[in-house]
Order: sequence, then C-alpha cells, then structure tokens
Amino acid sequence: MDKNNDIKIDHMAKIYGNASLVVKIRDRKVKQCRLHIVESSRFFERMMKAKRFDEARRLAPRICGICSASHNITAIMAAEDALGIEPSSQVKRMREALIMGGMVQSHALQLYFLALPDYMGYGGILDMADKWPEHVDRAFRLKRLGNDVIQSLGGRPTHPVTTNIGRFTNIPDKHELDGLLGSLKKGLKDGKATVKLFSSFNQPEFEREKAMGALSDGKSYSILSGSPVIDGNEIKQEDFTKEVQTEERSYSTSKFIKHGRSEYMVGPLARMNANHKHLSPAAMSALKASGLRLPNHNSFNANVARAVEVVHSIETCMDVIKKIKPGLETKEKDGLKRLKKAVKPVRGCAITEAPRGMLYHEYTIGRDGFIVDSNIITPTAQNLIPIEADLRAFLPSVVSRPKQTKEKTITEIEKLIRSYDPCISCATHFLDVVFG
Amino acid sequence: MKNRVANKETDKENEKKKLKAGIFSFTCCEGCQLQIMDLWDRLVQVLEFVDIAHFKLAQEDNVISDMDLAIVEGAIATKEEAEKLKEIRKKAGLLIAIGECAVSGGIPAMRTVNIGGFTRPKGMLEKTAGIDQHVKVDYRLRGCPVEREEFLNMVVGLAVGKVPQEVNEPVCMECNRREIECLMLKGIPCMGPMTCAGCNALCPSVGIPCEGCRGTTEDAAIEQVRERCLEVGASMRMVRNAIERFSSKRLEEEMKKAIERRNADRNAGDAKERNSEEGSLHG
Repeated sequence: MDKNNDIKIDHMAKIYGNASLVVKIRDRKVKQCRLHIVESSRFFERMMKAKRFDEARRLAPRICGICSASHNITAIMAAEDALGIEPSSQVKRMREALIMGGMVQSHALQLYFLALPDYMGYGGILDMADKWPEHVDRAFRLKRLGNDVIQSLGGRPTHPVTTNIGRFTNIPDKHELDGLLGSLKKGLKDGKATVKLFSSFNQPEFEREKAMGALSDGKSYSILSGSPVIDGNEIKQEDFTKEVQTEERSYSTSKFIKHGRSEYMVGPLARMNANHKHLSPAAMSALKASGLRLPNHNSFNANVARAVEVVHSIETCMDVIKKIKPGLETKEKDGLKRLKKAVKPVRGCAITEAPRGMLYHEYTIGRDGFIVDSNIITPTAQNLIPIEADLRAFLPSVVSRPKQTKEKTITEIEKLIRSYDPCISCATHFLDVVFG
Repeated sequence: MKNRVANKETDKENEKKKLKAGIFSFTCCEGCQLQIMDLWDRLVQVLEFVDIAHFKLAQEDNVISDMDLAIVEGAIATKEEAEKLKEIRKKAGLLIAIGECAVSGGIPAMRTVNIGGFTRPKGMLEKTAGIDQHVKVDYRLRGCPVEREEFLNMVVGLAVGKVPQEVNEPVCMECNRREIECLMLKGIPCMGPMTCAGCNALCPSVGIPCEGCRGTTEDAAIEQVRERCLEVGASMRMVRNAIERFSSKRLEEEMKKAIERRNADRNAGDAKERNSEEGSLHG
C-alpha cells in the first residue's frame, strides 16, 4: 500500500445501524481515525418523560431489536430499585435465563452472520451454504435456540411481553419447559463446536492493554448481580453516572463514554477477564480447550470469549429451567405505596450485562408514578473510544504488511470493528446535543 | 467470494426469472430485519427464486439498483433518509413497508407529539413519520416487530403473484376466537379494541393487556376505547401513554381536531362542552 492513503468505509455493512469510518494515513502513520456515527437519533430519554414507571419496560426494548430482552429487564430492575420492590428468587432466575437466551441469540448472530464470513473469506453467510453447510446449519440452530428461550420465557422472540415489575405474567408449562431443556441440551454441542471453530482461526498479534469494565459479585459470572468494576475499581451502581464521563463529538450522533481520563472496554472479553473463574463446567472446559490466555487484551479474541459465553449461557439456562416451579405469583407488588410516602421524586437505577457489555438504566419517578427523568448508557457508547484507539494502534502494522492491498486492509479493519459487535442503534437512542 | 446465492452458477438460465429484492432500514431498532434473519434458513428455499441485492445487515455488497421488490423497515427522520427512500421507490417495482416504524412512524414518531421546545439537529425533519408520508407504499405489514409467518407468507405469495390482504379487524376478534378471557372485563385497561389484529392475540393470551403494537384499525373508535379504559380504572395519563405508544399519528390528528373543536366551541361560548373535551385529551 502507498504510504499516504485515505480509507473511507461508507455505511459499513454487517453491523447494527449506520456507521462510517474515515481514516487518513500519512507517511504510514494514522493521522486521523474517526468512527462517524450517522444513525439518526430517536430521543428515547425525552420520550420516557411523563410516562408511567411501567411504560419504560415497553419503550426501552425498542431502542434495539437484538438486545431488547436486556433493555426490557434493565428498565424493570431500575424501576423496582426506585420503588423499593424486591422480586422473588424465581423471578430473578427467570430473568437471568431470559438474558442468557438473548446472549445466545445475539452472540450466534454476531459470530456466524457478521464475523465468520470475514474469517472464511465470504461476503455473507448465505454464500457459504454450499461449501460449509455444517457451519450455516449450526448458525441457524443456535440462533433459533436463543429465540426459543426468549419466546418461552418472554412471550415472543423480540421485545418480550411477559416480564413485568416484580413478576412474570406467564410461566411456561412443564411440557414446554421440557422441550426447551431438550433443545438446550442439543445446543450445548453446537456451542462447543462454535468455540472450537473460533479458536481455530489465527488472530492477528495485537495486544493493546486497556482498562476493562464488567459487573462482578465475586461469586458468579455476573449478569444481573454485583457492582460495576472498571479498571479494578469497584463502583456503586448508584454512583455510576458520577464515575463515568460523557463526551460529545461533532462527527457522531452518539456520545462517547469514558472513566476518568481513560477509555474502557466492555463486553465478552471484559467479562471473561473479570469472571472466568465462575464459568459453568462445560464453558470452563471449552475455555481451556480454546487456549485463550487470560487476562487477554487482544480485541480480536472477543470472538473466542463470545463463543465461550454461548456455552456458558446454554448451560446456565438449563440449570435455571430445571428449577422453575410452576404457578404464578399473582400478587402484584405495590410499589405505589412507597411513592405515596415519598416526599420527593424517587430515583432508581440498574446495571446489567447485555450481550455487548454493561447496560445502565436510571429513572426518576415522581410521586404520581410518572417518570420525570431518565438516563440510559449503552455498551456501545462505552466501547466507541476503545474501538477508535484500537484502530489507531492496529492500522500501522496492517498497512506496512508486505503486498498489502487496500481491500485486505479494509477487511482487517472491519474484522476489528466487528469483534466489538457495535450496536449503533443502541448508541444513538438518545441525543440532546444540538448541532450548529 | 461473491457467489451470493448458493446455486447461482448452476442455474444461470434461471437468473433472469429470479425475483430481485432489497431490504432497507431507516430509523428503528432493526428488530424487523432480525425477524427476516431468523427466517433465513427457510428463505434459502425461497431464495431459489429471489435474489437479494441489498441487505446491509447480512452481506457485504449492497447496491440500490433496479429491483422487483423493496422491503423497507424504519421511520423517516432525516432529509437524507427521505432522499434515499425516494431513490429506492424509483428503482423498485413493489415497495412494502414492514413494521410499525415504516407503516406509521411507530415509537420513533412519538417525538412528534411528545417533544417540543428544542433545536432540531441539522438535517432532521420536522416530523419522524412512516414511509407513506414520502413515497407510495404498495403493501404494509404491521407489528412491532412484524410476525415472521406473516412476512414469509407475504413474500412467498408475492413471488407467485398473490395479492396480500391487510387485516383490519381489532385484536378483540382474535381473543374471541381463542376464547381468551377479556381483560377489560377483569378491569385491566387494554388496547385490543382499537388495535389491528394479526398477532393471534399474543399478549392477552399470556395475561397482558394489548399494548397496541400493530397500530390502530382504520375505523378505530379511540374516544370510546379511552372512555372504557377510564371506566375500568386507568388514569387519564395512563390511557394517553397507551394510545401514544403506537398511534401517535392518530393521537396528533385527534388533538388537532379537538383544538379546532374547542376553538369553535369557544366562539360559540359553550364552556361546558369545552371542559370535557380538554380533559379527555390532555389528562
């Protein structure tokens, strides 16, 4: 490649939402590297205002179709935090299984539909149907498995409906749960094959040390429990917005989030580094077999971590589903009582691990039960600075490879961006910024 | 690298007969595209007679070229989106709107009735609205998200020349058919009476009131549904929340009419009627 070069990827394919990348290379050095987020904004935080506290669980999932279960559950948990409602342990476990189903669905899509074609040299997964039917079939089986879990527990595969403040309004019958358990059991094999496949690819040597952020409770692979730990510092959930800063950039309709002065990465690799000791048995042995060294700072390895999480999610789901007791909790927990006693609006927040990393929801609810203020921080907004920093560090080594063409460079760049699995729809859910 | 359709090379003669389709996404959560993705293994069978020219979430090479069928999700929020949509319309034989965002503006359109008093970002249109506000739409598929079977039936049907029929009856009819106990009768406010059916009464079947995600039926009596919800104990604001969710456009039209009526009343000096009108719409 020439030593001076400009790369522009316009409306990049195979990521969620619309983003373009502009890179300027002068004298084999990266002069500029910007991820232009060109998705239009949807003002979700503004729309939440004057909605009743249980309305957020309906609106928030519509931020993003692929992690709708995570948005839904996080919105409910934040409202519960504000209203002082403690759901039963069965409800908590079922929520966790729902999110795990979402993980399987989202990870299967990212790994097979978005990432795999890059590694195998195809334009899309359907192109692979002829030569690699086993991969394509597995992709659809895993994706369907994730869907089935959300469908059974949440009522439908996207934008769950049975989840509610303090309870589920429907519990699948034993027959359905047994069927689900059977498919999960079969899915475990597919999960292991996925780890094997993704650990077989040669990842570029690209270790760049950076801060990581993940939930941690010290005793499990935290999804709905624990406190956020960023770069080794434990933060109280309610202090999260004080600890992280938002930055606005003229070329982006998304905010960029950082901790203190530093970037931090969230998502499967961050979770794996923090909590791998608490993986399920099958996931633990898959991790060992994959040869992934931990802690790991090679962003490409997020794909391997993601595959291990598929195994972990399937196995954890099986555990939860085995323990589900029939019978609904019909008693609606009345959070309004607390509201009536309150002298001023109550604030509540929740952080969960969504497929792409930590997801923060916060609602301030007035005495009448209607939302006066809200704030949502999505995983992708936290990952934007590390993505740009990674690209800046990675590009010089790529462009100086012998016989490097522009096409090959672009493939490598896209591989790196896709390993973060950015969700631009999520990142641009809000926007209060006013452009000139 | 670009053997996009698995059996492209083997049946080149059939190439010309293939239906060429594109899938496009505007302002939305991309949940409807995901439903299509989920159908892909079944679509592969369909793909024997459909060639996908544009599907940004699933393939590398995407062009807006002449096509028989354009499938569009998402609402139109910016000038740029409106331009792109017009270009798609020009190149497409048939254009289908899938999902509430594309059909009526959906959740993104809530900003139109809900948010005022701020400077619009550059390039953003005054209203976020469904695609029919900008181009002619041939067929619509409602829902947030769309029902997969419905989508598959429509595409397969179109490919063999079948004209899709739109559902225009309320969810109540499906509850009746499935013998699901009426939530309104149990005192739970439900959007079923004014919402387009087609979901097989999914939410009421699991004990949840209809949230209206398939938009309002053409002859929906919003005023009556509102009154009924109030009767069973919902507050005015809750009812407004519920209607606003997926029927913001209708709500806006109603508000406009109400204001006109109010002004007319004011002129006539009929204070009594005015108060009740105001209450029911802005509560």
